Amino acid sequence: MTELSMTGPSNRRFVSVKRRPKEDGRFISGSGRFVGDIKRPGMLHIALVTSPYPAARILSIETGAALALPGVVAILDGAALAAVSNPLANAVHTPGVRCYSLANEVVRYVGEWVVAVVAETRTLAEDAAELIEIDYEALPFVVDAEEALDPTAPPVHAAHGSNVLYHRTFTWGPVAEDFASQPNQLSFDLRWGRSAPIPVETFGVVAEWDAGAEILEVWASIQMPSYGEQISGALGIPFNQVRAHYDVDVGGSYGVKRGIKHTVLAGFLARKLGRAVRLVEDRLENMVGGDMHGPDREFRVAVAFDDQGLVRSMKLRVREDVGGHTGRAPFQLGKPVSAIVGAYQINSVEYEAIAVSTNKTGQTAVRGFGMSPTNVAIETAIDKWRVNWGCRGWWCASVISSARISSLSDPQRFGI
Amino acid sequence: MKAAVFDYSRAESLDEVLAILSDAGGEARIIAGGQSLVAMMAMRLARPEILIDINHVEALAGIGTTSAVVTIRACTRQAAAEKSVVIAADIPLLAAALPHVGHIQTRNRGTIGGSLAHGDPTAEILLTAMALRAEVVLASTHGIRNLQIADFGLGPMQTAAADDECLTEIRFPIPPLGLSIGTVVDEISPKAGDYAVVGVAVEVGLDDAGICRHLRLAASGASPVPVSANPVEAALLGSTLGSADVAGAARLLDPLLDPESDVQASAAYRRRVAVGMLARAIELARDRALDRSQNQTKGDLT
Amino acid sequence: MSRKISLTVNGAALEAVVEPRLTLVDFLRDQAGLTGTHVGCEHGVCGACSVLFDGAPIRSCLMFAVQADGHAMTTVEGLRDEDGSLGVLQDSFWETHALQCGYCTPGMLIAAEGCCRAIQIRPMRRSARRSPVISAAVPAMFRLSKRSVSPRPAGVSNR
Ligand code: FES
Repeated sequence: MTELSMTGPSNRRFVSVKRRPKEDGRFISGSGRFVGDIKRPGMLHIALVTSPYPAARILSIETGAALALPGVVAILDGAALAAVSNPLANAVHTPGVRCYSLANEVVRYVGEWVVAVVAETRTLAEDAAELIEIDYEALPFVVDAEEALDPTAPPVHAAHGSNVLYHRTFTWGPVAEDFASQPNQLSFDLRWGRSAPIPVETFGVVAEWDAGAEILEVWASIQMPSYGEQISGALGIPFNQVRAHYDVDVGGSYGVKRGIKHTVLAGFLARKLGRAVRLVEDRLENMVGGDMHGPDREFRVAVAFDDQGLVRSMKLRVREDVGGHTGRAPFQLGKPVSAIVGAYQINSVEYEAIAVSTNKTGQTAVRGFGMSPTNVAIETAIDKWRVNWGCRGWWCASVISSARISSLSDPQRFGI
Repeated sequence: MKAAVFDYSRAESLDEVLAILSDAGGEARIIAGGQSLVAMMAMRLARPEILIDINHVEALAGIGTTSAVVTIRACTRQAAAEKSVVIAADIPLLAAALPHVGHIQTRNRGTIGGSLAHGDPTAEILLTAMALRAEVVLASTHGIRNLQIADFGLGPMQTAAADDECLTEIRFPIPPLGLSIGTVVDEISPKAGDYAVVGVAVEVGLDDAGICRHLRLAASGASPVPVSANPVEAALLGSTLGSADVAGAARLLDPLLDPESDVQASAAYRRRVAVGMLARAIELARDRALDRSQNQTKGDLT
Repeated sequence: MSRKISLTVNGAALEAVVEPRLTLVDFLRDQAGLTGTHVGCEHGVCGACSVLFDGAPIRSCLMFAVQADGHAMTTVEGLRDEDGSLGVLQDSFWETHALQCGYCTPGMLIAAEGCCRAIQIRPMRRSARRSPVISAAVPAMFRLSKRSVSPRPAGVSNR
């Protein structure tokens, strides 16, 4: 191991030196460049008509009055979009689940986008959106994940055949043997309620089709690397025909800003209309049908300890309420696989992950991509175990922390 | 979130305001500070055809006082009232309530009358007016009428003002002289500056012997409009506001309440908290009144 | 139905024609080209859109531009000193990195500026002192009188 010399900060250029963050200069002077500041020549604006139902069949959409309004350029519904674009990817194999930017045939949650109105200004687009009349036939709905598991529950994605989008059990090591040989066991249920990280800047995107170069130019409130790839996949154009401008400042994200459905919609319209198109969520759109919901999980945890108090084995069953739009949620259950024992050395683990559709707003990636709820489950197990063993009172905290330390992975295993 | 189309009219005089209101047949709305109205218009929950801007009507702004009453004209900014020495001295309960109203930035625009006319049932100015039994003045082309505040606030976002009427002033009675006054405005809300879930306003007046000679109480958030707690006042007047008496009397608030459950809190919670907060606030106001009278005495001796 | 308005923004006289329903923040951003002021909620909750209106901070999403006729506004772009260098508050926010993503920062600066102006006439209230925003601005307020600004490192532009 190299020896670290502890010299004063004076000979360092960056570390421990008081410096001004370079980017702050533009933010404190009002010269940041956020997506709302992007203006393109002839830019059009999108407003959305959203579903008031958690589940309904779309019977008819009447757009005549809206189209007749001066300044309205185009109106797009889900059927027209689905006919010419691919379903949005969700990174898990979910046959029959087809989500698009706009609801096609049925709506699956309140706030789901049904119709997009394109006009010369956002204000005109909102005026026109009010004039669109949609006839719905209300359908039975389900908003509780446990109920949604029942085969008789209303199907959220009927073509999928069940509300279970993902169900897989991972087993590492001799779980059954470890549980059988350890009399010290503990099990409990834990709920991680939906969280809603709400950036001060809503998600926004400006898309423009460069017909000469055949490139879709995209400016968005985004920092996600696979963004362009997902856009090109949905629009059916090669990846090298999407140019995302990553130099746009982002007004907070917390992971929720994926903006795929937004960008596919704006990108499609920009290409079709031959003009730049902007979609900046307003706060209503953002909070009801935008990208802003986080994990919604129910855990069943069982842990087996040896006589020293070390965790020998752990079983985690987790049921995720994905909502009606698949987005990123089913895949988020996969993230904990890479860190399923947290910081601990546990001999064997069973992880059963179930992702269920309901008629709620879809989820997106939040902070650490779904890992936090699993960490809470593991840490709660350690806390509960100590308390169950009669460890109460003022010294409890220190015992818990020593339990943690004794269970922690041995650094030598990592060659440190 | 862009407002629907409307026509805008900047009025220069009260007569002009009343004339437009009368011509508009219910389709006009007055904008004062606009701190609630503009948000409602942005969501298209409010869509007046004509917006009458009264911010430049001089006769609608300002604070006046007589020996018994402080008159606040409707378009007086909340921030101006907060800084007013007249209000600090003569309507101490309102002075205590104002810092709870929105944020500094909304108080810089928001007005005393605008808040009352909007009729939000958890608004602190309405709560204070209920506690103090304030009076409002409404004007229309037909003339002027005075209403007790209890007759003005009819329900959530509902007032007794007719479509063609403009709220012109609010009259707050000055607490009796010769008493030591203590005030408390307390509320629970999700965060500072947010709408109150439950709020209470208390004004206590003690004589030299520490006997309560003046008591004004109201609670909000547990009824469709704030309620003045008359039975509680009656039970405590003439007492020294001892803890046991206060706790017992505060329970008399309970039958006046008619709370509803919502996403913020259940009806039962609102009921319990309103009674508990009222008792606590009365005791705190009593202590403040006692502090003041002691300081007064010290001042007299030196 | 559009109206002509004349107003003063950051010391400069402006004339414009606006629809009555155009909010002040949309006017400042889209018509006056001052995109430093941001929109977060469009209904008066977040404070990102704060500007000084006749010297006092207000939410510019809760006003229509027609109402601003004849009035004076200051936006974040107007917080610079007369010589064009950063204002003391701006500089202090930078020095203390008083921001994360920077989106609401113009609103924070305007709020702090309003606070500075207010405390020149009366002492700061306790609630104001507790606020994290203001705590970032407190050193700046002291420095408002002293004007001692620590030097900016070389290579960092004063844009
Ligand atoms: S944009 Fe949030 S307060 Fe104005």
